[in-house]
Amino acid sequence: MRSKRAGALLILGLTGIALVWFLSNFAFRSSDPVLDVTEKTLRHDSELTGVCPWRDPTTDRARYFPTATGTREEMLVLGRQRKEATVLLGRSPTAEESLLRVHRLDRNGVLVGTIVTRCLRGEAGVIELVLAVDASGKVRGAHIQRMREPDETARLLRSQAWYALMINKGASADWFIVGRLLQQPKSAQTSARAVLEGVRNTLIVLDLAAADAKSRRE
Amino acid sequence: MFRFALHNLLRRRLRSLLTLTGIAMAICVMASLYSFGAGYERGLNRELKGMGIQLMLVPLGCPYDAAARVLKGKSLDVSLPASSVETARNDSAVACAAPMLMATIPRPTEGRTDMWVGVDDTIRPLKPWWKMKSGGWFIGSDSVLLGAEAAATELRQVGDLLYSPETKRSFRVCGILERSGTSDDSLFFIPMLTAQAMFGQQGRVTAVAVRLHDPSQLSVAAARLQKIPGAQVATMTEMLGVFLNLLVGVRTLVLAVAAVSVAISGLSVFNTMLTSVLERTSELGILRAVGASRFDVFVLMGLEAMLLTVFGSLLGLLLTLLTGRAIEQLIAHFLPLSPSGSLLELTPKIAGYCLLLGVVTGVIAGIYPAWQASRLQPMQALHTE
Repeated sequence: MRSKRAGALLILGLTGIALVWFLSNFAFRSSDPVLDVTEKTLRHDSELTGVCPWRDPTTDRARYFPTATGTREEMLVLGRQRKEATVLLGRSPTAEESLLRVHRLDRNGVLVGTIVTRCLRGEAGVIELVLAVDASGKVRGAHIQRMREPDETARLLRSQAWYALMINKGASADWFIVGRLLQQPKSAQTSARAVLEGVRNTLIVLDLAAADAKSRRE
Repeated sequence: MFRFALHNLLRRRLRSLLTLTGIAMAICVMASLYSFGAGYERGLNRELKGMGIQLMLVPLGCPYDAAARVLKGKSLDVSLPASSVETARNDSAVACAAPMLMATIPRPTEGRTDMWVGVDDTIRPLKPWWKMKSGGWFIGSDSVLLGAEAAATELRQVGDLLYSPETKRSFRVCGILERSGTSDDSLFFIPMLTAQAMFGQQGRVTAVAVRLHDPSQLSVAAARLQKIPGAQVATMTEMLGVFLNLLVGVRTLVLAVAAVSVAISGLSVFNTMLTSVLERTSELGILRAVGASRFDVFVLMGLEAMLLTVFGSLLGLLLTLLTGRAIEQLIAHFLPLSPSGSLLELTPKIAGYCLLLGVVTGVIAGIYPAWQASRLQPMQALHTE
């Protein structure tokens, strides 16, 4: 009697494990076209080096930091934080990340935010991302200044809903959740992932460079 | 004597500096224009000779403007029937005739223009400088071959997609060309039939690039090809001649302006030195009184003028090195055909000429004040005090 019950429990347990394994590996993955930003899916070549121009500074300044009175360009050096950056990014920082050009916006000398432009590798061509980060290192807003993506992807990458998910998120936020929140069309996933990675990685670099500068000052 | 002359110049720093700046700017303009002219001529020769194309069939209009636009990958408003390619190929003197269809898609909000060029296999012998950095030739109608610059701008690698949002067409990158320093670097090359369909130009081509079996047959072949309806011939030699003539005209005009500025800088040296003589009359009188000869005073003043111009000219050459690129960009923008790569070649010969010109100008400008200074009588000079 006791052995029968043990056998039933064993079969039930194994069935449960098999079901969980099946659901996690096949059912959810194949039918749910979500943006899966995990270590495994990170495409390390999605961000290539290259100086990305800031095409419309006046409009972008007014859009994200209307109170700013001045802008200055700054080169952020990762320096001693390279090792930590490698851990957080999941790869070595690119040359552009090691020496990141940012635009600091201030109001009467007090920093109000930072705007960074990045060239990202989209599915159908380059994607030029404009990322606005507030003084505390959280996303104020983002948009694409240039891309050559098909309509479906372009619609997504231009939608405010997509960027609203990133607002107020910092480098340490759960970007995996952000990715899963939006049901993406499959064709848009590569480019959407590139943008998401671009935002996340830029925030990481900004945080680390700030920490490096702070430790140097101290 | 040298130290004494230098000391005299340093005593009136502001005046010396202003004179120096005037000379420097005049020499800078002169050196930049000379360097640009020489570089442009060399660049144009290099680009046209390296083309492997000896003549080009373009639609009726200004053949040189049309050929220049085609060479730079810009589109033309008019086109030729595709049959003109066959007609050209059937000519006994023609070794190779390759059709080209150029189309540009301006993207003003994004600060760039996509330049698409439809080509077929026959273009390859006419582009001997093409080397594949990766990948290869077209493998299907949706293949795109990218110039090195285009691939770098779009962050594309072989096998990647490239989408044209305006024409709603997707391409697969089949190859990337090595950087050649020509306008090909920034172009998107696609199969001819695809290009014709993409831009609604079925059965039309923008130009036909031609290479002959024997280049000495150029004029005979050009005369025959000229008879193709709607087409006219622009030979590369003629094109080179037209552009060089244009350049000579422009250079003469600009050199005249530069010569005027050098003359003005000479007058400013003259003025500075003459004022200096008037100001230092008593000082020069003392010099004479303590035993300096007329020749010594003449040499002293002459040396001061020469030092001013030598330093001014050297500063001008330095300015050329620093600002030459900006001047080049400014001039190149207005030229109908601007060869790729740097056009500013400040060779030691040009630098030497400019330095010599500056020094000669200074010496000439300094002769009269120096002569005036040497004529001063010690008693009269001391009496001025």
